[in-house]
Amino acid sequence: MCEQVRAWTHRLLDADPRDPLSASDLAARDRHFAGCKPCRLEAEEMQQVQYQLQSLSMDALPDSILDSVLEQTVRRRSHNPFFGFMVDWRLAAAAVVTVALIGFTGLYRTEPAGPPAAPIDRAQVDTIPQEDLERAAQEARVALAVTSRALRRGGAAAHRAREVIRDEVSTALREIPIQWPTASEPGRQGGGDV
Amino acid sequence: MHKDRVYQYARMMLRSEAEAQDVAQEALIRLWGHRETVDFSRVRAWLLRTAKNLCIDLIRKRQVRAEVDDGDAVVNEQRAMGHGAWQQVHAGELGQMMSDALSSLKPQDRAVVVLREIQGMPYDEIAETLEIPIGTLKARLHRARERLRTRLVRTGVTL
Repeated sequence: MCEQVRAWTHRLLDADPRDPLSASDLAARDRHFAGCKPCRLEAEEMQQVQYQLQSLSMDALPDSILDSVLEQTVRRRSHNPFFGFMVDWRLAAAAVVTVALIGFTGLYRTEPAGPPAAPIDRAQVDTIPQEDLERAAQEARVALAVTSRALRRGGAAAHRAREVIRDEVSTALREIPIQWPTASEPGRQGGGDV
Repeated sequence: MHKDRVYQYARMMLRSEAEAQDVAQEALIRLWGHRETVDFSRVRAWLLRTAKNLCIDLIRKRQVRAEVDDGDAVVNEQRAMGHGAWQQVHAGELGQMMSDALSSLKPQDRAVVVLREIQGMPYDEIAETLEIPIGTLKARLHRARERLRTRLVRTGVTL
């Protein structure tokens, strides 16, 4: 009987909703305790062990470690602008590539631009996880920086590309509900609960 | 926060602040590397599983080192762990004794205790993290509870 009672005690402490102790088992356990002091003491001690374990505090990972992680991941990537083009972050990333392509071709085009791009489907945008959008925003910053540098080298042709970006691409990008990362902490956006 | 859970898990498994920080850092970097394939609804289990594997690697390296050095694994482990610093975190006599008792458990039993009793994770997530069936998980948990109780009672702790 004592072994059975010990198993019941463990099941109680397990607190597994898929394996609850029945009322009849609980009653049998109490009856056993009434006549078996060692079992009762053992159960109380086991409960105390669990309580003490649950009372141990959670240690926080030092900020310096998190900074080091960001340095080796997000920030390292943003130091290498061309890496930004290698990842497809769906719709927003496609918009970024469009910006880059328009910026590049704009350097060599003198004829008027073609018809404006089709409007963005907001319903489709709403289905994109916020996390993806935030990551896309990071990619966008890198791509726009590269484009900007290219434009500065482009002289008169760049002037035309800037017009395209200002009038068409920027308008399109404003349709995407992106929260742009702050300049001071680019890597902390999109961290979520991690 | 998941990062803190990973750190605490590594700290309790390795009993070394510096190594636990390394493990947490490496796990987070690997998460970044796998961000395109990781299911973010189960990222906690993914992080902890990665940390578990990193801890196992470190513990194995320690054992090899111990065999090479003087064959006394315990002494070498305690040297590596910065034991005093770890114990100070859990202030109070009982907390310290609990820390000692936890250290005496086998690593696989300790892992279950940390994830279930200290971090309060659900059974299915622990099973996924440690890659063991729930029956095995509970058997380890029950064994660990009894060992902790026995050890604490033997050392004179009034529970």
